[in-house]
This record gives sequence, structure tokens and C-alpha cells, in this order.
Amino acid sequence: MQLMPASLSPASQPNEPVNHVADEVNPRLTQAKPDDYVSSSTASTSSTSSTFSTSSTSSTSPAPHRHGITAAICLSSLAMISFDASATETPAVGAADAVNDALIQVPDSDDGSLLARLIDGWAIDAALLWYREDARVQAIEGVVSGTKALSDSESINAKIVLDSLSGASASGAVAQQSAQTFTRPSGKGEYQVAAGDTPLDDTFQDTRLSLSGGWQKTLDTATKVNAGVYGSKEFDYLSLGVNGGIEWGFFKDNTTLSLSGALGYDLFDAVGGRPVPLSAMAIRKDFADEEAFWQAFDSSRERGVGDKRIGELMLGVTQILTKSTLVQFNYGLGYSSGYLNDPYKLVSVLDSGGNASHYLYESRPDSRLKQSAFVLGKTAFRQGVAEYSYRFTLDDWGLDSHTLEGRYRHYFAGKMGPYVQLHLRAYRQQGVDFFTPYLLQGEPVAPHISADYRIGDMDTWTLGLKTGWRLKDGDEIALRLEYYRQLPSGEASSLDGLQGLDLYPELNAAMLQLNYSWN
Amino acid sequence: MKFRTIIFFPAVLLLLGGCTTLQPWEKGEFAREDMQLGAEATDLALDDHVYFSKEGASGGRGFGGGGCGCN
Amino acid sequence: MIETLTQSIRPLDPHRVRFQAMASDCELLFIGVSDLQAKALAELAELAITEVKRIEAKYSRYLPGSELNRINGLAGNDICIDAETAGLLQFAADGYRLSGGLFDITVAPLQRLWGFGLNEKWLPTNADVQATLEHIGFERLRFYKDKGSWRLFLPAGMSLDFGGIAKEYAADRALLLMERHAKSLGFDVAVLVNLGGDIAASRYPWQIGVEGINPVNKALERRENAAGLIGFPGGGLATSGDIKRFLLVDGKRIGHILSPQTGYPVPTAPRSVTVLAPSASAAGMLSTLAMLKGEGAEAFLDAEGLVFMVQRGEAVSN
Repeated sequence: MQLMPASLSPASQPNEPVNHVADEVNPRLTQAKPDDYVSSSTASTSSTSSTFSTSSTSSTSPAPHRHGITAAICLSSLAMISFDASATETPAVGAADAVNDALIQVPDSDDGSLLARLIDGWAIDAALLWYREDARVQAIEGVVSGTKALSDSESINAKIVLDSLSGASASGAVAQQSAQTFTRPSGKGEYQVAAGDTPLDDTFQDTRLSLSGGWQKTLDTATKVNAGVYGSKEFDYLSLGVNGGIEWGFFKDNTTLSLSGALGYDLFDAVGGRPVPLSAMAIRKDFADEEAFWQAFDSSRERGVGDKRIGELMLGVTQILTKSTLVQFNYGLGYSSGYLNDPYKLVSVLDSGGNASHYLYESRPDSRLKQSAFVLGKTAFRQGVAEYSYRFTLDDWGLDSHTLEGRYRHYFAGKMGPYVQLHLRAYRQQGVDFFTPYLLQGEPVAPHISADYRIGDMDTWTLGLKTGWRLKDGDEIALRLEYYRQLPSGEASSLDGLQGLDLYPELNAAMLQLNYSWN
Repeated sequence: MKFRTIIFFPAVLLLLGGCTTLQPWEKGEFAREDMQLGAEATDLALDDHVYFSKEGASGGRGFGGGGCGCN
Repeated sequence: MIETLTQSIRPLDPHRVRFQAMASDCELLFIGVSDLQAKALAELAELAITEVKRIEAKYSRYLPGSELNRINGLAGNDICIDAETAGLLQFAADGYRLSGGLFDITVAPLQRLWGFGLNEKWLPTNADVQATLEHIGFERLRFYKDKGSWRLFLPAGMSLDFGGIAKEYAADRALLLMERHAKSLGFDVAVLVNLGGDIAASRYPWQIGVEGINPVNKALERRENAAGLIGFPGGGLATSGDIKRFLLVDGKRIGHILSPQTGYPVPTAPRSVTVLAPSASAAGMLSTLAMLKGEGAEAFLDAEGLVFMVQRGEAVSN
């Protein structure tokens, strides 16, 4: 046996029961003579099914505890219990206690202990993300999440996300050879877009706070249940949701089946009111006076807020394939209904020369049925871990997408040491049936139109690098840099007014993220 | 029809499952923190939020949901 | 289940603080505290509860982020461990050595093997058991001090389980921290920590009742219903037993005490063993060892000269 150095093995000297460590921090052994545990006199009611024994030293067994292992086990246990005192001498322990006393006398120590009690037992993860899009949005997003075990079989988690966005996003209107004027969403004021530029809504600015909480419980070795709530609020949007799920293990837990569901309710309180789908944007220059403008503006708005109901179901199978590989398959079904438009998105109406005469607010169907299939594999290596996935999605708007994603992590110098992780993602979507980059004057307008490039044809790429390491006290730190590129595509236009203009502008974004986990 | 392939996948997985049954003590690698399906949850959630607001499809790994007025 | 009846001889009411930890009902008892010292008592209780939960979080098998799962997840690598974990391993190593290999904290794969049988109504085959034994044996791990820091090498495929140590250790730690703090505050109090039946206590003439496995008469008072009352002078008390966890095969109970030597449940093991020792950790190890001795449990405890209680029920199905 090559278990331990002989040095710290009190059990190796069973005949020297007085150990200064035990003496110093634990008076129990020194005060309590072994006899206390050997022949107590007292009470012994014994029931039929039990034998209660106080063996006495006068029994036939010869001087039992001297030859037995009890003394050695006791000394070993005392060394274990006082692990934090063995390094410090008695005065040091006293000093530490004196410090504790001093802390107790500080008036606001109650707050400190309240905080300590609040975060006691929580494993906390925090992350800060900087997001920067070449000419448009920039954002900072902070996340704090925590998990606390209530018992061996039950845990809760909570998460707070705060993000702040500023900048502008593409409105859907096409670029023009001359400057364009748009009315702000509120109706108060206008903004200009220079010739050749893709129109952006430059007032885009928002702060979002989201809170979520969850609960997980293991019912028996094969069954787990979970439930959660979610809420988020931004200036013009409120979202609420609940979810729940159950997991069953089969075949010695080599196969796990899960079923979960989610319900959501969102409210869109658009700035300036919701535009009437397919109505024209009122622009001041087209009206004789303010009153006429406001009349037109108001008639392009619907009363009340838009709401959206979402129901989702997901069926998952996780299968262990080999000693180091598992696969997961998810099938998801989601249905949303209600107000599904983006109230700030427009479609340009062009004349035969390609010049915008006016702009219509987009119109999306009022329901959407989505399906997704997702396959994920994870493989463990001695020096790393790989994760690879493919996702296929499909919906009744005609949008389908393929996503391939892979992550590979390589550890240097063992799993404590730093690691480097490479992330690649390729995404291709075929846009919705009602996507149109612009409309032509005089042609009939379909009931559903959108020029939002995000639901048009598009490829995107992500390349990411991450590094992380574990600190001495068990905390973990990680840094991540991601580069994201969007390449929308579509038919080129033969209209004169659009020649030389980019109908499907590319977009580049960079993300820098810092993670810290307290363990 | 595309949906048929979707249903086909789990059937294949279950068949595979029947073939390989690891004993509990052979599952050491799956106890690794980096082998959990929820590993790097914070990163995944942040990514999801970005992709949700930039692309037409969402979800798959988890719920696609709503929760944001960005799409 | 152990009930602390605290039939205190002195006419002082015990202060009792209950809490939940380690999947058990837990309680702290204080004797000799006047109402004026209630604030200090709250400090002591908080200290103890914090410590118990800290240990639970660190050594739980069920929390993915626990130190124990970090260690098990890194099986196959040479890793650093802290002084506390080294202390636990040292204790386990001593137990392994002193018991001639009976007390082994690497039996988790074996427990999982038999545990699955419970669920699917079948028992593992001999081949399963022999294969599992290949991944068991405390002597296979390397545990040493290198340049002032503790290192552990756990061979791939093996895992540690402090289930047989952590609760008793937590009771001892909670008591130690409270005694230290009480001493620094300069007040005299007797404290008892009961973590679901594993007890550590200051020196004081406690009375501990052990709840019967088959209560003879439900109409009797709980106290009389107890199978045994033990005069407990303080120190540690622990019980091992199959009251809650057992397998039922052909109407016969097979205990959860699995022998790391044979890979099978110990035949003719007692239903439960309660042992008194100077610390809860030592009591826990000794009671586990007694269970593992099977038929020889009483003889072993006798020879060790311990105060103990052994319960052997008939094969009962319920």
C-alpha cells in the first residue's frame, strides 16, 4: 500500500494517546476517559429485537481497547477534525477568535452576516459581455447566476441579466441614390439617411432587465423534475414565462428521456403605438400642416398594446454511446400567436425608376408554428473535450435553417491549467415566403410582407476563441472573444435607381466576454 | 417530407441505445464538469440571445421562446 | 433514527435549533444557556449550521460543483487537494489500514451496481460484481505530500465517496467550532449536534433514545417506544443500519452494507449498529466496521470494549 507518508499519521502511534493537537482544540478526548465509552452504568431498556450491550472491562476479552483499533481511529478522527488548527499554535487560534469578537462588535456586522447568509451555499457565476457591431448596435450585457442545493436531491437557481443596447438597426427600407427622410416611431421628429446608406433607425436604445428562477428535484434514481419562471422588461416590451419538465433514465441511466414544456406571454407596447400593418408611414413633407400629419399618423396606429402567446414542447433523448461519447437528440415544437410584427420595420415602395415613393409598415402572419430537430454529440478526451451539433429548423412561414456548430477545448497541463477552446458555427437560412426587399408601385400588395433581413435568405459565420483556468482557491476565470459575420443574400435588382447600392449589406460583430465562477 | 427525417433520428438513437449499455463504473468521463450538457450555460445563453435577435431561427438545444422584443 | 430526548438531570430547559442539511433533520441542543445569552447562542448556531452546509456542499456526491465531484471528475490525473480533504483521506486511509481493507471509501461503483438492482427488480450477475471489483480498492490510489501541498492520484474509473464519513465529520466540526467560539466568549454551555442521528456533543450526561425498528406498541409514548436508551457522556455517537436503504430479495432484506472484499452485501449483518466514541467520526467508522463484520459485529465491538447497541431483526418484509 502506498497511501500516505508516515509523517502525518497519528494512528501510527496508538500507544501515545496524548496528542497535542487533540489536547489543544478538542478537550473531549482528554476530558473524556476511554472508560466513559466502555462501561457506562446506566439505563438499558432493551426491546425484543435488540441487544444493548455495555461490555465491561472485566469481561473475558483481555484488555480490549489496548489491542483494538479504537484508540487509533479516535486519534485519527481528531487529527482530521482539527485540520485547521494543526498549522496554527494556540495563541493564533486565540487571535483568530479575538478578530471574530471584534467583528461581532462592529455595528453593521448584521448586514455582513445577512449578505453572507444570502450567498451562503450559492455557487455563483458571473459574466460581462461587450458586443460591438460595425456601424450599428453596441451593447453591454451582465449576467449573474447562482445555484443552491437545498439537499442532495433538490436545488434552486436564479439568474439576473441586465443589458444595455444603443445604436441603430436596419429598418428594412432600401438604400437610395439620394437622401431619405423618415418619421421617428413616436411621430415626434424626423431623421435623415444619407444617399447610399442603408436606412437605420438611429433612435434604437434600450435597457433590458431579466430575472429567472428555477427548481430541480430528483424524485428517485431514475426521475427528475424541474420547473422555472421567467420575466423580462425593457422599455417597450414585457415578457413572462413558465416552464417545467421531467426526465427519466433507462437502461442503467445510459438513456435519458426528457419532456418539457414552456408557456410565455409577451406584451409589446411599441413607441408611438403599434403601426397598422401595411399602412404607409406618414411623413411631414407630404402634408400641408401638422394637424393633417398627425391625423394621418394616428390613422396608421392601432390602439392598445400588442400581445403574443407562446407555447412550446420539447422531447429529448440523451444516449451514452461509448465510455467517452454521448449524443442528445431534441425535437421541439413551438407555436406563437398574436402580435408577431416588429413595429419598427418598413418596406420601401419603389417606382419604376427604383426610387422610393413611400414606405409601408411590415405585416407578418398572426401565428407561427415552428419545429426544430437538434443533434448534439460530446466526446471527452484525456486532454480535452469536443462538442458538435447540427440543428434543422422549419416553420410555417417558410423559413428553414441549418446550423452546424462545434467547440473543441484543449487543456494544457492537466485540467487545472489553462485551456484554449475553439468555436466554429455556420448558419444558413432560407427566408420566409413573404420576404421581399422592396415593393413596386402599382403591383398588388400581398397580405404579408417584410423586408426585415433577419428573416430573409442569409448565411452567418461565427469564429470564437476562449481561454480559461482555475485559480488556486477553486474559482474559475475565462475570457472569450467571438467574431460574427452575417451575409444576407437575395436577387439583385435591375432597377436603375438601385444600381451600385447594397441591397443586402453584410454585418460584422465582435464580442468580448469575461466569466468568473465562484466555487 | 422533411418531418419524417426528424422522427427517424430518435428511433435510430434508441436502437443504438439498445446496443451499448455502459456499467455505472464505466461512466467516469461523464462526471466531468465539461461533459455536462449544461456546461458553459452562461456562454450558451448569451449566444442564444445574440442569435435570437439576429437570425430567423431560434431554440433547438433548449426553448426558442420569446422574451425579447428584438425579433 | 436517533432521537435526542435530553432527559437532562439539571432543571434547565434545553434550547433547540432545528435545521435541514445533508438530506436529514438536524438539530442543535444547548444546555446551560440563560435567556441573556440568546444572542451568543444564535451566533453559535449560525457557526454550526454554516459549517455543516459548507461540508455538505464540498463533499456531496449529488452536487455537480462539489469538491468531491471535481476530484472524481479528474480521476486519472494527478491533482491537488486541500488540507481538509487530505485530512479526510488520511482518516479513510487509517480506517482502511486498521480494518484490514474492510472500510473503503472507493466502494461507490459497487453501491451503484446494487442500487440499480433495486430499481429494476434484478440483481447483478457475478460477472458484473467481479468487473466492478476491478474499480475498487483504496490501496490503488496514491495520496502524498509534494512540496508542501497535498496531491492525489485517483486511477481512472474509480471514484471516492465520503458518504460514510462526511456527516459524522460535519457533526464533529460543528461542535468543535461552537466549543471554540463559546470558549472565546467565555461562557459555559453544553452543546449537542445531531445530524440525522449522527451525534457529536460536549461532555454532559445526555440521554439518547434509539428509535425502534419495529415499534412494539404504537400507543406507548415515544420515549418508551425507543428500543434503547443510552447514557451518553458526550463525544460522538453514530448509527449504521439498513433501516432506510435495503434490497428485498425473495422477501429477505439484503442490507446496503456491501463488502469491498467480496462485492456482495454482508450476510447476517445486523439491522443497525450504534456506537459511542470520543468523536462522531470515530463512532461512525466503528459502527460501519461492525456492520461489515456481519455475524461477528458484537464480538468485534466487545473486543474493542465499546459501548454499543446492536439490533438484529428477523427477516421482515413490509
